[in-house]
Amino acid sequence: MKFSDFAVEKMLDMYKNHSNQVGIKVKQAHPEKYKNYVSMDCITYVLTVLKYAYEKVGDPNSQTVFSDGIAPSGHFKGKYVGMILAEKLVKQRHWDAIYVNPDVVHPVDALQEHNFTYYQANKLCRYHKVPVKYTAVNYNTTAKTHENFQELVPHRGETKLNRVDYDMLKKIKFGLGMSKGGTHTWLFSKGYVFEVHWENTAPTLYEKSPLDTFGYLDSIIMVPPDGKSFIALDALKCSKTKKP
Amino acid sequence: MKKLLFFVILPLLLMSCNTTTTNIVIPLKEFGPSSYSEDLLGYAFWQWNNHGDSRPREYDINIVVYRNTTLEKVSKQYPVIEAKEQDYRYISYDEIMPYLNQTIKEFSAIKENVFPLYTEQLTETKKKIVDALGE
Repeated sequence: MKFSDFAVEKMLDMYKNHSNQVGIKVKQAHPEKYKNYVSMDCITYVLTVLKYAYEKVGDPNSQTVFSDGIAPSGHFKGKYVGMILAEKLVKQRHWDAIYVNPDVVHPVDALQEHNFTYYQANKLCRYHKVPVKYTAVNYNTTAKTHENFQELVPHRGETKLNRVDYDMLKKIKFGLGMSKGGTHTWLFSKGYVFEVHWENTAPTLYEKSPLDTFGYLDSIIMVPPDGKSFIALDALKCSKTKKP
Repeated sequence: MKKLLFFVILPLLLMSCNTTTTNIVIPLKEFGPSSYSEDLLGYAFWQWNNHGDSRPREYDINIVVYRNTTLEKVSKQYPVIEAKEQDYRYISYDEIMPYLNQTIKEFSAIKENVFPLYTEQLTETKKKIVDALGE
């Protein structure tokens, strides 16, 4: 078994079996009631899965997975930050990042940040500080009947639907997702997002949903080295000229 | 008498117009895309958490730009209170102005001009700061 196999194994095990867990926000609000429960949030889910997989494949650096995401300085000094881990996974452990966005022209919430992150990914091959190698976009475009259609870009018609790249994503066995610059962290497998809602208890603590209906729009999916052969997307031009 | 009024009252009036403001509070979202501003102003989720919610939402994060005062004073005036979801971040005038100038320049240089809202917003933010704290 490879890294991705172990990661999926743990990801599904936690998704299916979590009767002893509760969202971290719930436990903070009711510490006595949930004192015997393990608190869970999106990053803890991700880290637990990564550490399990790294240990299973016998990676000598598996113990550093957690510290890889610790902010060394700045506002979050000493705290764990998903985007720092993401940057290290790509730059040091040779994961590949795929930028995803359901509609790069007419975001359904009419926020310009989604268009801008696409611009950065496509032109500069980066998502915040994480090097990006591929994009898979426009897989769930905003209908012209939607109230926010053309709210941001009035002169452009409906975005052409691209389900081909989206279908390619369904071949990826395992990935790590980050949305809105690390605001939310999740796991990915064969077209589905696996995530934890920190304000919930079972049975809604964990959720599995198709990427094309996922609430967050601009995101990246990082694929470990053993899953690269399943990425049937064209590499961005800028990724060929830039060192990761 | 008219001359007296002119030379005495006018300077007083002008003095009263001089800015004594030492800070201005502006929402984080008015400082451009978070991928630009996060190094200087932090991430776009609550500073007491290391990530945000699992569902997209707005975070009412505000930036206190200060000049001719100290960080200690402004942080007392605008404290961070998690229980009230009161998230202030502080930055000096001298630190934020180079960022704004550089970012406006970069957005203006994008040939496609596909982000006019950012350019307008950043220019407006700079104007707010200059109007409140001076050139």
